Amino acid sequence: VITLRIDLDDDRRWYLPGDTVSGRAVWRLDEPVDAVELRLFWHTNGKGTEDVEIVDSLRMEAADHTGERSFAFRLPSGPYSFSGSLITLAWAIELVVLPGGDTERIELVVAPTPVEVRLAGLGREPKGHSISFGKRS
Amino acid sequence: MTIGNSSSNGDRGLSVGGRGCMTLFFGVFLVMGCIATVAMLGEAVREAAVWFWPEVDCTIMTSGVEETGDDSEPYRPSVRFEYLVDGRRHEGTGVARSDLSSSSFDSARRVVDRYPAGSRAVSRVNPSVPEDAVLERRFPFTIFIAFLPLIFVAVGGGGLYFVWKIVPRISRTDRGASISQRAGGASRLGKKIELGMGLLFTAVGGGLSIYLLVIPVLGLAMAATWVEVPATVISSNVRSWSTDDGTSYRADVLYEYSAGDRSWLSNRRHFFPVGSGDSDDARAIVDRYPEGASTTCFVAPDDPGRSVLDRSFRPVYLIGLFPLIFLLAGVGLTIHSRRADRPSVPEPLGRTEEAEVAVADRTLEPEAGPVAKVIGMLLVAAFWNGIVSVFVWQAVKGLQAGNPEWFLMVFLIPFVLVGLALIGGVFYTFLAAFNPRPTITISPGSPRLGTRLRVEWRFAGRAGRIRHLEIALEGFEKASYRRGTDTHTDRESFASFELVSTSVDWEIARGSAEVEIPEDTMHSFASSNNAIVWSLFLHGDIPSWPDVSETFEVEIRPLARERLLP
Repeated sequence: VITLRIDLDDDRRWYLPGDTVSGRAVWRLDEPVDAVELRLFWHTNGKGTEDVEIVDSLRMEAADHTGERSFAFRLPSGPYSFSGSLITLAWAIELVVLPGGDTERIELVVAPTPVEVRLAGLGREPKGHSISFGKRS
Repeated sequence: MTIGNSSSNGDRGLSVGGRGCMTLFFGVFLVMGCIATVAMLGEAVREAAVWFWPEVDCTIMTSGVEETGDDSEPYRPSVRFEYLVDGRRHEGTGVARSDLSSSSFDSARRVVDRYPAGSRAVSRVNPSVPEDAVLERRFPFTIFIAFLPLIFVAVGGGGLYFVWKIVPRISRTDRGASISQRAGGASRLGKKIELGMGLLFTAVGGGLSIYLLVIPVLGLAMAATWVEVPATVISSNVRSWSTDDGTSYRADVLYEYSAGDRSWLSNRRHFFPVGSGDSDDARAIVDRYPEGASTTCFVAPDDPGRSVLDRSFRPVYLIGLFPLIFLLAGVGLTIHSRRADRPSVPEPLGRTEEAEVAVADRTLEPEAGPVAKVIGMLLVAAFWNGIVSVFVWQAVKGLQAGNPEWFLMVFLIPFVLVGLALIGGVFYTFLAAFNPRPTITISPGSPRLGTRLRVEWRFAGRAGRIRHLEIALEGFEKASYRRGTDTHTDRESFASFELVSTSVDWEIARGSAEVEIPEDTMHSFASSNNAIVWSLFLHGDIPSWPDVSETFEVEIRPLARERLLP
């Protein structure tokens, strides 16, 4: 039995774009492995073919059976976490054992508000809407 | 956490039956490819063996061009020679180990010219079988052809590897829960396939372009300075032979002319290397050059053995342009495959208001200009109708011959209708090219979520023809996915803001509108298969004429960092 754990500081799950995601990765393995890698990434779900983009990663080479390592990843300005009719985009951090592929994952929300941006139901009139014609004043 | 989990996106593995069928399918490819490769490599080795045979002097007894009896390659050099091995006399008839049969009388004659009767030459004798000797050792070109069946080997082997190695790995990855392991995997594989296809198309298109375009055009250019001399048609007949697609035909006109100090025979009618394949065309040429007829040919002054009956440009040479499509497609695919495929998110945080002043206004370009639309539609229509016309011509010929091919004609109806619609599309886009041209300017030039966007429009040309104008800002999801061998793209609108809808002339010609982009929506974003796109859609209704319809993409950036912080 192996144990992989990702502890985020303050147990946060919601981050603003540009924030720093920090915490500690912990692993207890049955045998030595090539490496343990921590990856910050986003991925899409839905009707379209899946896109996965690793934004940042931290590789711990020739890791011992057990270990732990603190980390800090700076989030980019986007894309936001969102869900729509066709596409859902989610952020996550994974701790992956290489080459085996055993994985621990924590999902994050990266958006201006604590919930992902919901696209359904946004077909509304703008808050302000004015029209003028003729020469520009 | 303790491993032993976890989430799954669905099992992408193959069923036992599916795996068996695909194994059988790819296995046949692999086996057939291996057999063909081994056979061709064996032939190449047989040809190459001559290079290691000892040289023995010989005397040419007879030499000439003989008929093979095969209409596809009717001429072959025939040389008989004698040589001595260990004091014993032997007689040989082989020029080379490979078959030198050809459709060109000239190429056979050029070989024969190297071995006039009574002359001395050097033969290569098989040390194991002294009766086996040839005059020439040639590069074993079969070795290049041997690579063709390797394509089957690659398809078969690659398919089996995919079925037995990749699919289980994908299936395992899905069950093993690591999503990040899939980053770039499909994209990298797609890029490799794209690169492979690009190189294959480039090689095939380039090779065919050289064979069908460059060499014939060079021949035409050189023949412009050749000397016209009298010639007599020695024989003239229609050659025919079976191919995979039926029967092919070629007019074979053998003519004689005098140049230098001797007479020459040749059957080169023109420089295009491929016959029409049409029996009527071949018959018409034979009728034009009947046996015994006097005519003229054109002879190279510095090489009187080179001649041609007809040095004029003919439409058949235009066929040589078709491989350029493959060549361009191959180069395009190759270049595209080398480009980085990174997701795009508009510029990030921390831009100051001062920095944004630099992009206060931006004039947007429509996604496709009027000329590009006409050319694009013209190319599509020409490509489609060019292919369909070949089959339509077959059907028409059947009708003319009193032997109508009803199945072909019925089968062609939907294809012809699509072709007619495409021709209509060419006229439509052509007429639309004379429409008033809209210009859209937005301010700020790089809008962000939560900002007020000002949109200005104006028309160049006769805007008075437009009866009604609508402009809307729309945000939509765009998702691409594969179904079978096709790639589909779905769109779904999630926000739509009408900026203007008017039928007043002076309002249509020029104006502006403002809209506030909500904060709680999604910024522009694009990855390989998924995107959030914001666009301005402009539609101008013109009675009895193609409407003005343009789309302008607007890149909307995420919220400014200072707007995010409490």
